Formats: sequence, C-alpha cells, structure tokens
Amino acid sequence: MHHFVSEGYVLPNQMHSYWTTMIVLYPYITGIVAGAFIISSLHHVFGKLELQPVSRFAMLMALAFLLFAPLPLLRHLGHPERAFNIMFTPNPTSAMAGFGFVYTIYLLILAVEIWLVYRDRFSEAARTRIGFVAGLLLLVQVAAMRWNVIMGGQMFSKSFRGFLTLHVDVVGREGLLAVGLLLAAPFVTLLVFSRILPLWGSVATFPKRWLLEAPPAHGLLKDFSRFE
Amino acid sequence: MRHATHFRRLFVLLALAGFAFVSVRAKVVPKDFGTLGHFRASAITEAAAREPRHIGSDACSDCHAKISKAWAEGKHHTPQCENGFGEDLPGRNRPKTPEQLPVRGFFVPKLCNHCINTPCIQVCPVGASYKTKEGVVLVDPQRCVGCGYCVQACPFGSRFLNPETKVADKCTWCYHRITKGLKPACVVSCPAKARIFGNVNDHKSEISQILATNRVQVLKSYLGTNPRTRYIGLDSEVI
Repeated sequence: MHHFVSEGYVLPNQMHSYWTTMIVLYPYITGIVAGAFIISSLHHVFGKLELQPVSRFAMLMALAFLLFAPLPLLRHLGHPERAFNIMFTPNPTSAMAGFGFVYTIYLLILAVEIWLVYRDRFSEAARTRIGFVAGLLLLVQVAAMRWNVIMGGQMFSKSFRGFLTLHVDVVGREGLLAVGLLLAAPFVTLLVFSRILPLWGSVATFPKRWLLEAPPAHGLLKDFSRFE
Repeated sequence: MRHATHFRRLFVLLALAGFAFVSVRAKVVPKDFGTLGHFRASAITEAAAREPRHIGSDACSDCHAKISKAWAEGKHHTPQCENGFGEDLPGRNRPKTPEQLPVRGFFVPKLCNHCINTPCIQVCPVGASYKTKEGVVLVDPQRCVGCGYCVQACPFGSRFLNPETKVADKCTWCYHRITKGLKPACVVSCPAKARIFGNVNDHKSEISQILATNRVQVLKSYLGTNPRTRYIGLDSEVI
C-alpha cells in the first residue's frame, strides 16, 4: 500500500508516500455528501415537490457519508482510528483544519435537521415498533424509494429549470444555514490550496503570468477558430 | 412571530447538538490536551521517558573503520566518500568518470533547526506538533494522523513520515537524553567533534563562547523562522 521511494539524497523528507485509490474515494464521498444535501435542500429549503420522495433519505445519506469521509484517507496514511482528530482537536492556525471546523458545524446542522425532519417518524416508530424491527422496516422503506427517478435525470433537469425562476424564501427555512456552509466549502478549498501551493498565493507573479500567457492562448484560439 | 419561534427552537436544537458534540469530545480527547498549548501535555513526559542507549565516540568507527582511519591520518579531504554524497541507493546518478565529479563539495548536516517561529507546528491540523518549554520541537506520535502537511511545510526538509509508525517523525535533539543531563547522541558520537550542544542563556557555557567568537550563520534566514541550530563558517552557496 505504501510506496516509499527515495531519490538517493540526504534530506529526510525525500521519502514519498504516493497516493493510490484512496485519494479518489475522498472527493467521491464528499461529492456524495454535497449532492445528497443539495437534493434534500431542493425539497426542504427551495420547495421542489418532485424531490419529496428522496429528500429525507438524502439527508441520512449525507450524514452517513459525512461521518466516514476522512476514513479512506487516513486508512491510506496508516491510522484510520484517528479520523476524528481533525474534528475534535482542530488547530486554529492550520489551513487544513478549516475542513475540520466546517465539517463539525456541518455535522451539527445536519443532525439537527435530521431530527427536525424525522421527529414525527421517530415518535410513530417508538409507539408501534421497537429496536431491530424498526431499523429493518426503515431499510425496507428506504429501498422502496424510487431512486431511478433521480438516476434517470429527467427529474433533475426539471428541477434545474426550476432554478432559473427561483424565488428564495430567506426567513424561516432551517436548511439555509447549511446551504451557506455548502457554498463556503469551495472557498475553504481555495484557501487550503493557496496555502499549500506557493504560486497560488503569490499575488506578485500572477498578473505577470497572465500577461505572458494570454497572447499565445489568444493566437491558439484564433488558429482553432480558423479550422471551423 | 411564527418565524421567531422557529428560530428560537432551531437555536435550542443547535445548542443541544453542540452540547452533545462537546460531551463526546470530552470523552474522546485526552484530559490533558490543551493544558500547556494546543497539544497533549503528557506527550512531553513520554518523549523524555525513553531510555537513552549508550553512544560512545567510537560509534562511527565501529562500522566505518576505514573512513575513520583516513580521517585520523588527515587523508579525508576528498568529497567522494559516503559522508559527502549520501548513501549509495539504487537509482541514484553517481559520478562514473572523473569529469563528472563536482569541482567542490559541501557537507551540510541538515538536522531539525528547532525554529522559534515554527512553520511545522503552525500547519499541524490536529495539534500533534508542539514545542516544549526548552524550545525543542516534538511530535506526539499518539495524536499525529500522518497527513504529511508538516513535512511539506518544513523549509529545511527535516521532517519525514516514519514508515514503521506511519506518523511524522523528526530529530528531537535527543529530548530523552538532554532532559537527563546527557548530550544528544550525534554530539557524543561525532568523531570530529563538529557538533556542540549547550545552553545559550548560560554565558559561561562552551556554546556561548563559540557563538561570541565565531561567524555563525543560520539556514534560510530570509524565511524568518529564526532557527536555533547555527552553523560556523557556512558557505553562502548552501544556505
């Protein structure tokens, strides 16, 4: 699993651990979390009735995958049992710990929202069924939900058309906080990258690079347009 | 009014969820985390508790008898030895012909600089890197997740991922030895006595005398990390 390669020189950190499949799993899982949350919010926040059958389960799915999002990465690094360290003791001076803060707040809001959405079902289940039977029935119910509606894409295109004529009801909708966090996620990613990659953070070199690269890019575009 | 009630209920629920998170955190995170800084306080005593093994000044010559003999006879002036070029690992381009040999060689031991402004502690996402009250920068092997962010952040390449423990590791200035009044192992074992370790606050110590009477440099001073490791007579090419 670990591929340590030395370049034969003297610095201790010239030994690299190369990423394999596990690095792909992380964006895959976070993508599922974000996608499931968007689907749930489209119904609960933006009132898309087409997504009502799956909106509740999408929320549970977001929670389940959010809990295990850092696990594959840390499995690759060798210490999966420490996956929650970044949530429990995030270092405020570290850019990478920004994920920890966002994930923790996201997790709390998701838990609250799941409670709000499922509370009627909780009380009903508590009255009629207990323990394992309740869980089993929940699973059966989940499997009965028509996932092909979403997979087919027809419904998604409909809801996307709805986006264009959307009137956002700002006050009184609980999911809006979480949507704000979701929108903040790419900026946290950018912040981390700007810290990790030196060129991204360098204000001095960027405009010069653009100026240098713009003329050849323009020429190439003209060449391609001539072929058409 | 209805919206206000909704928001009040929402914030009560959020506070409850936050309380649940804090109570789980109190169970999971060690009790002494954060008492001395953003790290586990007992990690210091654990690092100091390691048993120091004896390292005599013959440690090098035990294995490298030929090199040590050459050095003792004053013949150790070419950089073509293992010390000057590093270990001969597969895939490395070693000079084959005399023309490929470098004109001049430098030997700069790159140990941890134990900076005063540490980039590595700053970037640790989980609070596993810390500094003791003596100024030694250490890693807590029980909290580290092995993300390697500190390995990338260190401008001197002093940190590495330990392939056995799968966590970040580094030169500790032999914290388990210096807390027991011993010198670090590299200082003891260096046959040329090239390394000096001591207390700079004590003006009568050997290190203070040497710092006062020599030209000393630090590596990459322009980065402002303020290293505690200093080099005597360092060439400007290797800084």
